Amino acid sequence: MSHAEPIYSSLGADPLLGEIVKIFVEEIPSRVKTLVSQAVADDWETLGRTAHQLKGAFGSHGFDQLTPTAKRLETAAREDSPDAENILQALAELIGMCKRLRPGTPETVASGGTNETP
Amino acid sequence: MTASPASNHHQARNPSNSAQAVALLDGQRVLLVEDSPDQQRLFAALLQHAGATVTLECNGMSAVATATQSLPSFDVVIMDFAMPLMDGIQATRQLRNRGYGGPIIGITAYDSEEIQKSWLAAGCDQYLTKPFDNTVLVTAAHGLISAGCRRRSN
Repeated sequence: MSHAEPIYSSLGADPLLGEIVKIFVEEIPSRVKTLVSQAVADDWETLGRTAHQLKGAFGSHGFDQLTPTAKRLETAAREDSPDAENILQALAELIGMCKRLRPGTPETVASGGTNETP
Repeated sequence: MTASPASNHHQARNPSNSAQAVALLDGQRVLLVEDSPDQQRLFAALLQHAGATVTLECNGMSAVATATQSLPSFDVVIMDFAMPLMDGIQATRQLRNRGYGGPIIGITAYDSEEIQKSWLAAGCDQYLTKPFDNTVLVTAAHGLISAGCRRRSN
């Protein structure tokens, strides 16, 4: 899969949860901002907690593809002696994936639906 | 009767099937204790869609207060582990000490046997590791309620 290819939720077409996934995707930029602020402050403990929450949230919202990267960030931030380079590498990877998240499904794009980048 | 503790470590994910859970929790009162707003929104939607009336709390301390003051008592409590003020294990222990006898379902993104054992020992009836198939939450609650999962009268 290309590193620029959109990532869709497995729940994007769910009649009940599709709208909730859309709201989740819309909120991702603010979640990323929070992660970056915590990294800038070298607040690894809080960053670990945020990554932990996101790990569960990605999976629950059908974005399983991001779960391993969020888990890697959580683990790196919760090391006894956190390695900033490892943390920032996982964070950069996670941010890159977050930018590719889309609501809906590839089919809604093909049919001219509204799958704007958040 | 108390349902056997269980975990979902090997459950397969099954997307786009939330509608299957319709009416399983019709008329049931659920206390959902979860500090993450996005997870609150998602789980509440699933439970409400299944017919439940959902009360939300975002930490263990307020959950204990709400559950112990609520009459009639909640039919099921669904509780996250990592929360501010009081975590899910402490809150479960306090609920049991204060006489809440209904089913408690623990949910967490920690895949830790140690946490699972501690939680079950504190009085949790079933333990679900996030991420889980979205129908599992409703079917777990339905299963425990149907099994008459009550530890003691309250």
